[in-house]
Amino acid sequence: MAFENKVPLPGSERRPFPKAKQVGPVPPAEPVQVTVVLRRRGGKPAHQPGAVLPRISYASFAEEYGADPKDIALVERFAHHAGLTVVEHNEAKRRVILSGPADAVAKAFGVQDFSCCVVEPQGQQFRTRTGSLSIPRELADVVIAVLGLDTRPVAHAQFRVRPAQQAAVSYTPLQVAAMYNFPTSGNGAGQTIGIIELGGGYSASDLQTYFSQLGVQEPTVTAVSVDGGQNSPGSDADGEVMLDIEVAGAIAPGASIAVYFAPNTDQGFIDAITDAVHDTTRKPSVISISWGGPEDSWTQQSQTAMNAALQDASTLGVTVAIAAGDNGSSDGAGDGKLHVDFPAASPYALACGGTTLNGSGTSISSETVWNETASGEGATGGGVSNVFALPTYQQNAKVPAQPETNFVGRGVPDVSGNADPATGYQVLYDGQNTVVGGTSAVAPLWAGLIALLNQQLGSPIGYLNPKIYALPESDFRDITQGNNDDSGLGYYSAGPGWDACTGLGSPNGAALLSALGGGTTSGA
Amino acid sequence: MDAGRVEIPGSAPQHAENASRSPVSPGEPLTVSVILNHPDAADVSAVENFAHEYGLQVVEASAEKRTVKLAGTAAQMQAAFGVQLAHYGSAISYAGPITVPAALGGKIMAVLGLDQRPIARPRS
Repeated sequence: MAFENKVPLPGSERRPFPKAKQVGPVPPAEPVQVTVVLRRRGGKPAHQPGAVLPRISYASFAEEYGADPKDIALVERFAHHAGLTVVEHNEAKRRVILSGPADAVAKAFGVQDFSCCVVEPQGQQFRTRTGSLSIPRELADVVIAVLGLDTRPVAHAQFRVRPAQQAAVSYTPLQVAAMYNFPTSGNGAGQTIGIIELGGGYSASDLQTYFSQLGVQEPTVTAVSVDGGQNSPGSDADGEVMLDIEVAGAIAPGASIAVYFAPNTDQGFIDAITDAVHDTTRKPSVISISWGGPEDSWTQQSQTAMNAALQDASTLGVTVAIAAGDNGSSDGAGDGKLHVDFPAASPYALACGGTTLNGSGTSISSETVWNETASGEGATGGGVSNVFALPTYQQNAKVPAQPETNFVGRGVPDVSGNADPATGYQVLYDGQNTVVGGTSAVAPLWAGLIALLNQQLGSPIGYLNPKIYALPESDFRDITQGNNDDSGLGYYSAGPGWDACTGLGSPNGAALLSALGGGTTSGA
Repeated sequence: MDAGRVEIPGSAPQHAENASRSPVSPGEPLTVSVILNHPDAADVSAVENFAHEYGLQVVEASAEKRTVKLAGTAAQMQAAFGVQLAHYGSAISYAGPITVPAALGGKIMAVLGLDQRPIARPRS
């Protein structure tokens, strides 16, 4: 019989995890997904750290350095024999992803002490195992690693984050929503929230854990590939992806979430927005974007094309919420000048700035402009465009001329919300409970709110900017204290009404619903 | 056939004076997104004819997305869009403006994908 004799998989030894408390064995039916990593074809040497490989194209990468199709076929035969499903196989990535119930996976790879554990006090659950894995003799030398069985937390790279225990103040997205008086009578059912990502990926099991900890239903999350982009967790950008999904999903758990993954180029970015806007299958009514770059780092043609894609979104009734940046009024450009971030600076974007929020329950004790430059924790983007003229809807907003050029430009942002990492959001990614901030959190916060509003109103509110500038100031929480001057440039300060730090202010969800035509106010 | 060529306005990327450049292999496969000024089926056809003339493959064409995606080698792209491609650091880009046959002038807003440098950062 094939695949009967087992041999140890070298290097697969796992020690016990003393910090963890065992909860019990992994339930036999729990779905487990593993990544089987294969050797390079033709005895190519393994990659040496620091070695510079000759430049080759992606197209020839698989042929040069990828896995042998025969090795992939062998693993697939074994998977079939073991009752596992092949989720994906990829020559260039030298991997086969398999899924199946825990008991079948454990038997296939000789898993020992397969346990559910938690680390106190966060209480986040993960799987551990001990000892070596074993694989069929036929796969010896073919398989280099089997990953995904043991999901204990590992260290991750730097990010604008604070460990949960150390943050002065942190909130779940639901606590932030309660302070902002979000409508509580709906859950976004029937809506799709589109999220654009230019890197990173999400882990379905982390999402499941997160939403179950929050006590809300798990939204349906789908990955959509644009120009070859993929849901590929394993880089720093995972923090962005998970933050976006977890914030939007917590606010509107009844909504479907479609995550459009594209390469981080102007082409990828613009194609992703176009595909999302014209996606007749998933039909997102609101799109969240937490990526951007200084306005003058774009070519004019790509800026024009991006603006056209966002204009098409407004034409199709799709709201697009975009982060205004995390590096103050300089936007981190480092040239001693003022910059706004793009695409937030597009007049078709709902540009989202950031605040520092303190409060509890449904009451806010203080809310000011996010500016933690002194402690290296960033500041909200915002200012006046040097490219896009002042739009009609901002004509009474008292947007100043751009101080360096006197250009009468589009003011950024339009709205704001909690973004300071020191009063940040509790999220889970790469297996860890983390506190994250940034205007990155504000775009999905508003996208979630808009999904709630769209559900309640019965039709998408679409291009929101002209509507909100016509509303009375009382429909927002006007932020009047603080500034976003990160480089000693003297700009900009908050004040009554619109300002270049927080726009019209942070949301009063129920008041917005009522003002935009929804029935009775709810919430507090 | 094409009496002349016209520039795509604002299509010249900025590069640092001292940016290191190395050649792109002529056979390197590339896909570009041609973004149209108007969501117009006749303009999509005009871009498709242009593609056939230069041996480029039409990967996707949508009037409503105002986008035509064209695939070809680096050498074909250089001929079709009148630019010299190079690796600037680790990413492909080019110097100077993109040009297209005069018959397409006024139809094309942008040609994207010949400049593959990262454009954005996550805001968290």
